[in-house]
Amino acid sequence: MKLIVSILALFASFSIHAHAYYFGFAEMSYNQDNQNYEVTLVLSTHDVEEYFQSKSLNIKELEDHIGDANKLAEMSKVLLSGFKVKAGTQTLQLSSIGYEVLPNGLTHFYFNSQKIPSSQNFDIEFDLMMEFLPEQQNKLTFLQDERSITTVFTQSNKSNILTLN
Amino acid sequence: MKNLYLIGAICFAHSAFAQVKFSQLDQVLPTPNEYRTGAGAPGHNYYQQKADYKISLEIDDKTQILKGVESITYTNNSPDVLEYLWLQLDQNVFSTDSDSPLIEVEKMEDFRTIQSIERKMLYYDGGFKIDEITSSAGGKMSFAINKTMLRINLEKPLQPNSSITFKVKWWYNINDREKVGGRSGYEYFAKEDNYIYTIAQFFPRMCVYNDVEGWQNKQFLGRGEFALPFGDYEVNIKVPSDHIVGATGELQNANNCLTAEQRNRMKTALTADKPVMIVTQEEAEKAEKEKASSYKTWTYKATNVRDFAFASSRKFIWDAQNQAVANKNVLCMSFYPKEGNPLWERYSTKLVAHTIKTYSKYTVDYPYPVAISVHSDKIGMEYPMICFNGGRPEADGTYSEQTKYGMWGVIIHEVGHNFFPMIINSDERQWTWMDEGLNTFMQYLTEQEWERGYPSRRGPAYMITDYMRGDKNFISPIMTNSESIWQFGNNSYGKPATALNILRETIMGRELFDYAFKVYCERWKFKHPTPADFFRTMEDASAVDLDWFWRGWFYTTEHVDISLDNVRAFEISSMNPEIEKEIAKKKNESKDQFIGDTRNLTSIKETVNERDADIDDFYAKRDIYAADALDKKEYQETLGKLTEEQKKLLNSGKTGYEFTFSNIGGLVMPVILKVNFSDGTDEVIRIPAEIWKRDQKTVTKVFFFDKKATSFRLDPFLETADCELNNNSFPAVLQPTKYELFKQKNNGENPMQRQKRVEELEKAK
Repeated sequence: MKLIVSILALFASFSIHAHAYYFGFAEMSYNQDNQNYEVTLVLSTHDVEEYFQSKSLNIKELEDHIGDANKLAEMSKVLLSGFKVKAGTQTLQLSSIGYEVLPNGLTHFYFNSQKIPSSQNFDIEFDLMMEFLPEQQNKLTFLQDERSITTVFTQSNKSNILTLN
Repeated sequence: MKNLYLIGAICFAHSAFAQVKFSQLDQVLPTPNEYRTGAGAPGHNYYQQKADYKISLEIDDKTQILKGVESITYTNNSPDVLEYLWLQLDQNVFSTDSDSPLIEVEKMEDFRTIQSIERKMLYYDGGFKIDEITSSAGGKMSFAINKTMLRINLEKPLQPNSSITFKVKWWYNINDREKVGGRSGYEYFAKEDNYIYTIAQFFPRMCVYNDVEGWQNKQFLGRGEFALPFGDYEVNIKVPSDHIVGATGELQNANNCLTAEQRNRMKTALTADKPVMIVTQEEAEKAEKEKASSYKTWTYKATNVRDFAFASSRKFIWDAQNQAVANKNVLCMSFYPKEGNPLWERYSTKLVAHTIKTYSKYTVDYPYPVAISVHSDKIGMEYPMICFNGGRPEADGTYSEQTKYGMWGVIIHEVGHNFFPMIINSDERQWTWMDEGLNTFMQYLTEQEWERGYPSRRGPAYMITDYMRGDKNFISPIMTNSESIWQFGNNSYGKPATALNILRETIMGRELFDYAFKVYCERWKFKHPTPADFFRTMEDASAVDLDWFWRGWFYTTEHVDISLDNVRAFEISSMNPEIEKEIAKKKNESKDQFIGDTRNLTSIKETVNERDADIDDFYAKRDIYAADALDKKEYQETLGKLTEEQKKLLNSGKTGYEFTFSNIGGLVMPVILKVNFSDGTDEVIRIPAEIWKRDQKTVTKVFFFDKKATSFRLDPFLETADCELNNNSFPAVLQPTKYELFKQKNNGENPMQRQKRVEELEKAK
């Protein structure tokens, strides 16, 4: 009988030793003038490139696709499958306005929502890349005036309710 | 009286609680002793063990089996009698009975694709196959294997100050890193049927035995790395005769292994200040096509190292240059396949040289004869004098800016590991941060000296704030064993590196920090330091009490959020009644008026007392803003009691400001305040963290200035890792969001639209 070894978790642990990022960050705020929500997702460029490849998006380097509307739409679909927000009773319909690949190894993806009244209560699911990277941890910070509130998402905690006081 | 006692008790309790953050770490750190002093230095009876190896190994290029035999001479320098010896079998992390895959949490959702299932079902017969362990007399030795640890049961216990020599014969299947993962293994190039072997952890290695924990024999689960004793190595590596080998140590038989031309080029490289090709790309591409069936043995010797690793391939391009360090020459080399070009030929060896030089400046003079960077895909791992690094351009030779910086960063980081932990040999299995955190800090300094404005990912204080904020249930203190850490990279690399930067830039200053850091490195080079040795040395060599800092940054998960809540202004009274009453009069005249009073001025043409002079009495007629003779007399009497300096102060026109700060995040930090004045100038005030000794939640402070201040800003240079910048300014200033910054840069035009305009412009040309 063949001896079977479970390698997947080892592979995830042993990929580039000095890399060890597995951290996603979202920043969200309400624009009073435009009456919509603005979101920035900050992800490790290396991690998200590998993630896109695992989703069969033909993307090797994010920098190669800046300005490509079709690719941006594909990427956004994948990203937003792991980032969903309900403000009150309404689901945010997020549209991407672009992304930046920074030389420090991070990529910022920028989204805005449809016009929607501001809410004090949010139901957030932020499990982006968790099925791909077992150690992935995500955080969302909501900025309101001089305050910020941060909530954490892990494998065992993929959804959270956020209430602004 | 009871009430007084009660108030006193409350004040004492409150003050005692406030003191916790500043209490000394002595209760937490181990008690100093003859092996490790209270100053953080090795004690007068400090000891460490030694393990010398003679290894002969062979790589079968057809089957990817590595087999070897090693003779280990282990010297017991401890005062203890050892009944058994422990060796580490790191390859057994891939064994069929390994704990590592079993402790990973999985769900069915992780296996939505056939590829993920295929990876889980992958068959790989990994782990050491130990053929035999024999004594120097040839007799079989009794041993037991516990997963990744092997115990040799000694017939006669090993006495203090004595040695034992024994042999181990073993083999294992080298892992395909693409399929199986791993810090070492091979990369296979299917098109040409060639391999790059990056081989490490390939032999049973002695564990550390020391005064701190006896045998460091914690299982290798995959994340916490290695603890190893120093020793001397002699290694014979048998590989196909067309392979090029790079290894820890110095090649002993260059005449057998290198051609005359290669030896000549190497002679030039020994004194060159830029890379000299030892094997060119053209030569490597030719070697790729031929598959030699004969074998050659490369012999290496290394002195006083904690480990041995090597790389072998017929695909290697090889270059080298010299880097002088103090009175020594260090040969810096790179080995890489053509797939690494143009990046690797252009940068790798220069980066190695730069790293060796810069780290030597801040830590210890690099003591080894060589420093090597080897390129294989998707890897970053360190060994004495050699490291394996990723960063590969596209097949057409182009690369992104991100790839370039990634490659630069990983080479600096991995070469830097020569210092932490290869020379300053901390226990990686227990404390990842002691090498990764210190190395990441040094990496940042080295990057900044490579290129101005280098986009370092870790180091500056403001870069750690996203990690530090939020629910503390999902953050671990730095002082946590390697296997138990949430967010490993941020915890063990980023946060300690940031902490050291803050010490250097803000708490201690560069001069004090650099001196103390060097003392730590010099004290513990070629030895085994612990966290307490580091904490104690940094204080001992600088006279800066850092216990509050270590406690907050290393032992807790608190974050920095200090707010500037309020500012109150007041002016110094000159006490001169002629001046002060005039000021009071002006203030009264400029104060807010009730609307009724304003309207009455015009609507009431004449009041009774304005018509009848008899109505106004003394109170109505007196001028409360006029200085009378008594005012002037009292003023002169007061003046007479003041010194000249006090009189100058009275007339200085200074304004006092009372600031209220709150510590919301918990981590106490210095309060750095920038005051902007009405004349456009500014002043920066640095209040030491000890201000929080008085009250850990809210403190107030008063400063006097000659000029009128208009605004104030906390942490203006982003030094303290403050996670909330929106409460740092008075009057309040909202920081733009990342989204807003992007919109500002793009002038309302998204990158796609801008790109369209660029393309139209180019078409028009």
